[in-house]
Amino acid sequence: MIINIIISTAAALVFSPLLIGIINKTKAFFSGRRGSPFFQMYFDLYRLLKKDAVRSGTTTIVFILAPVIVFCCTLAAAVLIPISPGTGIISFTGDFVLLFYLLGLARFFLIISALDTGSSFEGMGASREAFFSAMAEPVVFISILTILRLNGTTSFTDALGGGGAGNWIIISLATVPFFIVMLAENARIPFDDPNTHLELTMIHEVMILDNSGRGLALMEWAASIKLWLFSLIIVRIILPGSVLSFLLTFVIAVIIGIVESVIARTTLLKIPQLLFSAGIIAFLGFFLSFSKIFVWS
Amino acid sequence: MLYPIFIYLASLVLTGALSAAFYRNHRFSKYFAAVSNAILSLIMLVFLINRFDSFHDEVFKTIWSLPMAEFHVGVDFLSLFFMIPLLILAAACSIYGSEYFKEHRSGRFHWFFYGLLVAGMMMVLISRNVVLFMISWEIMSFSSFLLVISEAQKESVRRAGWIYFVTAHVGTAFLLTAFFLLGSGAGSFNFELFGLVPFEVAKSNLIFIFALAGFGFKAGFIPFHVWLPLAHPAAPSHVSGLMSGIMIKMGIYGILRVLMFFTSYQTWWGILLVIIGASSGIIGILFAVGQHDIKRLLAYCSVENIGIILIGLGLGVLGRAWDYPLVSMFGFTGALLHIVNHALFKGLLFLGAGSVIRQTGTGEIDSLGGLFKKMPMTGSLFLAGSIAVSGLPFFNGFISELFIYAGAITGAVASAGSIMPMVCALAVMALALTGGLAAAGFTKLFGIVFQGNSRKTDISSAVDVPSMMKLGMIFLSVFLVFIGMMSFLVIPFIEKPMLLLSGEAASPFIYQLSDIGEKVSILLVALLILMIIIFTVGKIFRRKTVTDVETWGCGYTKPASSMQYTSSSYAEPITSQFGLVLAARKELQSDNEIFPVKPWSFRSSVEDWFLSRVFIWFVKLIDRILSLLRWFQCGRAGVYVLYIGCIIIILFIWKFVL
Amino acid sequence: MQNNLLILISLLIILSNIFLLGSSRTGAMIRGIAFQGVLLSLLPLFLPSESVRILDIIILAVLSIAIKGVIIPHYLRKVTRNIRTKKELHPYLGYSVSVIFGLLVSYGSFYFIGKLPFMYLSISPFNTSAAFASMIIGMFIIATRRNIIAQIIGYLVFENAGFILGISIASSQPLFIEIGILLDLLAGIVIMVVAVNHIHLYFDNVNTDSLERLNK
Repeated sequence: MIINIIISTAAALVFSPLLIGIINKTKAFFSGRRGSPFFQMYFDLYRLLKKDAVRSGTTTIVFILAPVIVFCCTLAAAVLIPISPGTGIISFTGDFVLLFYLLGLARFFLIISALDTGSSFEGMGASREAFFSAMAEPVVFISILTILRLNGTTSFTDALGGGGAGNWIIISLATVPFFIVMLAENARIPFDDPNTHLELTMIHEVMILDNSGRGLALMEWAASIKLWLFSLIIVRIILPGSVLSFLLTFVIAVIIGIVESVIARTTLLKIPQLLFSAGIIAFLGFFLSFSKIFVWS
Repeated sequence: MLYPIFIYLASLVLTGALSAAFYRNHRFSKYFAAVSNAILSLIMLVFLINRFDSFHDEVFKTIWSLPMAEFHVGVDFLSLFFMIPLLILAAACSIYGSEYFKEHRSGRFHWFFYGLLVAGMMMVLISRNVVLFMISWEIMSFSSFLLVISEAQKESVRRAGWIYFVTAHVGTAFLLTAFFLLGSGAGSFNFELFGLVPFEVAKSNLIFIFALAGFGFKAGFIPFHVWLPLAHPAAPSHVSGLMSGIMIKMGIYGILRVLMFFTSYQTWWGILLVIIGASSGIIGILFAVGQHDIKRLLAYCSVENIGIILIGLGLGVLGRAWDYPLVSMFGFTGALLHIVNHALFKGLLFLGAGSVIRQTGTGEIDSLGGLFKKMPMTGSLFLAGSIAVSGLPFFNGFISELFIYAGAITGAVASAGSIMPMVCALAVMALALTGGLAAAGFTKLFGIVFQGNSRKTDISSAVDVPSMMKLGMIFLSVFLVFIGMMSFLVIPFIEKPMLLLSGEAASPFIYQLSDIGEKVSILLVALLILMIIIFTVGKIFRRKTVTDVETWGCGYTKPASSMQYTSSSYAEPITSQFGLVLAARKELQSDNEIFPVKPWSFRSSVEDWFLSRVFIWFVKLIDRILSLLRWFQCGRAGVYVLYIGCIIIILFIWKFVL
Repeated sequence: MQNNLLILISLLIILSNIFLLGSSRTGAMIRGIAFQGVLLSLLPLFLPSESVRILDIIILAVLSIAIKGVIIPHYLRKVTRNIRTKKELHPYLGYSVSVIFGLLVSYGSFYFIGKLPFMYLSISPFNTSAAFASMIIGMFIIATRRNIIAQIIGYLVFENAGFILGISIASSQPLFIEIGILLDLLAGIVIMVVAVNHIHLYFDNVNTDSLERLNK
């Protein structure tokens, strides 16, 4: 149990910045550049952790506490996911609710720390983050219900940490929405462009505009852990049986890089539609998981 | 248990009356009433919790001279369970209320009606006879109506009071119908006989529908919610806290009581409850997000939370109808726990909103800002309430939502057929959507009111509230954290009332409840320790922080506070995307010049079309029908005396001749 | 495996239906209907090979890919380019309502198709239910859209449903009938395209509301 916790924590802390590196390298490859090194984000984090900070006079204690809370909640959510069969540290009916609500708490503090600065830009990002994540949550939950039904268990970590794969159509119908939501929740293209601050579509990056020094390091690290968390879930859904399947998260990172290279960012108004269609796919998957017609054939 | 309750009721009314009598010495009168009210409630609470384990059902009967009535009271685990939040909230709100009225003094009878409201709710919980129940119900409605119109010099307050009065009595009409149906089936108006007679399906369906509508007007789920967003802002804040926290739960109590009269539940009741709950949750929170007034926002949020409770109840009913004891157990447990939780955090939020309104003089979200620095205690407590109401971990809202989720998940995974999984998926979707939107709504409320800089109102002289008001809020927030972190200690109080509702089939699985609670607690405590460690490490290896700079304006050098995001702009993506439900209205006044000469103005508002279209239409329809009877009111005193005489003769004949 | 592929095709058909319901641009709709046409054309390949001649199957598949996937979309694209509507015509019912309707219909047909007595005849009940849903969705599109191109596409969805039903239920009937229907469809679309051009010349728009003026 303790060993499992240590392994998951270490994996989340160590591998997550690498995912960002892989995505950036893939994007660089597609645009014909050499790109920054794979380990760039480690250097960035190290540099930020050493730095002094500047904090706006408008802010309150919320702004000071928020990076710690965001980081810890995201990390705790990531640790809940078993990274190889049989390594779940906690399992009960509805454990995924705890997992995603921890992310929700992190998001809550991210949003109010953005509003704390009184900047209109950060308010804009906060408003969008609040709305899009509210749309994304039902989609994720329906996908998870599908997976739970396939595995016949009410605990999500049990389903991820063991059990066999079900029918591949249903699994892909559950995974595709998850992938779309992963792009939305982690502020990737086509929902948000992680490389811009001041475009009209800014969501995540703009919320941490006023963070600096260690606060910024924790926020960035938390964001990469969140990406690690989602890609780990997808990997565990697709390949629940294998021990080293977590290495596939790097493949997911490459796929994200490819998606970011070939797809343009959608307009803001289309984002709810995109999430809505992800919901439709998730719903079809859930439907198939108990459909009588499917059982006949 | 009953005699202490009688003493409690009597002393509530007595202290209220004494405070009215000593009204001349205003300071003494209000402190006396508020403090004795709080102390009485606390004593009662401690007594009740002490006796909870060894408690057995108690009944007290005596003959009463009213026709069809019998003075029949009793306590069982369900009523006992509802008393817990009632007593906690009554104590907190009265401590808080002692300081609430600042410049204008409260009316002479304010504390009398306050005591009467608490007593009325207590009476509703212990009544076991239809006539007694309806009398208690009316005491509750009427005293709360009188409290709502405390500031009757304002036009808006009078209108709100009027609509509340009308809705409360339309609800009573439905209730009476339901009770007559029950009574005609059982041949008596005593509750104990209702449970013994098996009702045929058609009749029980009819009773269920009437009871749902009747109690719905009190509980305030959609489409019966019209009075909530009007009455809560109109009432003084400690009264709205009490009303929104516990009085609307009396509607839920009524629904549960009626459900207990039936031995078997119909499937479609559960489905209907889940659907009403889901739509009430989603529509309620959407309306909340679009509001501009703190207390109106909180009122709509109550509609949402009642929806969540109904989802839990619906799952419980479905689980019992289709014989899935686990679903039924989780559903009812979640619903019951959410009743308590909502009472606590909504009470706290209303008290916090009241503090803001008292100290700044306005409840308009868009004109506030930056209050956290001026009122740190209120701000922190309000933040705790906001996190709890969004259903996020560490606070109590999470635990109850988790149980309702657990019911829906068990139903979606374990059940055969295709209707049950669909209903459960609907419940999960609705809970997830309301959770996300609630987080959006309360980040908006907290972020705009307490953070940034003040937008219009001058808050330079605002200070935090007096210590009595803080005490009331702290008292509530202690429970918030306690239930959120140590839920397994609270669950034993829910098990027995839950078994009354879900039947004995669930008792073998009951250990799962505290099991989940323990696991969540362990994880949360560990996480809290981690946070503290990281924070202290950060403090030890401190770096230099420069704080006397302005927020970065992205290159703009003279940012003004009016340039901040407002609540309308924060909510705009949601209100425009859900335009189908919200019918948001935007007004832009511009002078159509290339270079504007006059200042432009923009305002957006979200209209409650349930009130303006559905409800008003319904009331007008009734008015048109009933105006046929208007000849009855001829206006001549002699005729009225004649009416009275006729009634006396009829009663005489009924009582003694028939 | 074969069964899974059949189910996948039906799922994609349902998704394309919902895409058609939710998209406002005619260009996107034409792409959607072409995609659906190609998907449908793959269905004959799954027919049990002992009941029909393999040559028939291949001819049918190739012909219908050509007609539904290439020729008809080409004509439609041409006529949209010809008439070039500037203003987007809003449907009588909103897009999100239409999408929710599509979902409900798809779910409902899954549910009810299991209760039909003659289902044992079809190669996969899943296909049949997708066909039922398509039929209703096609009619829905015709009924709620103002844009004449969207109406034609609704008609095509309706026809596609007939194609699936023809393939999956009556696998014993000669496939030449299907080929005949295909050619009829092509002729029908050509006539419609010509008609649309004329309507556009006459009214200067393709809003079907203006056709009401014809009865005066």
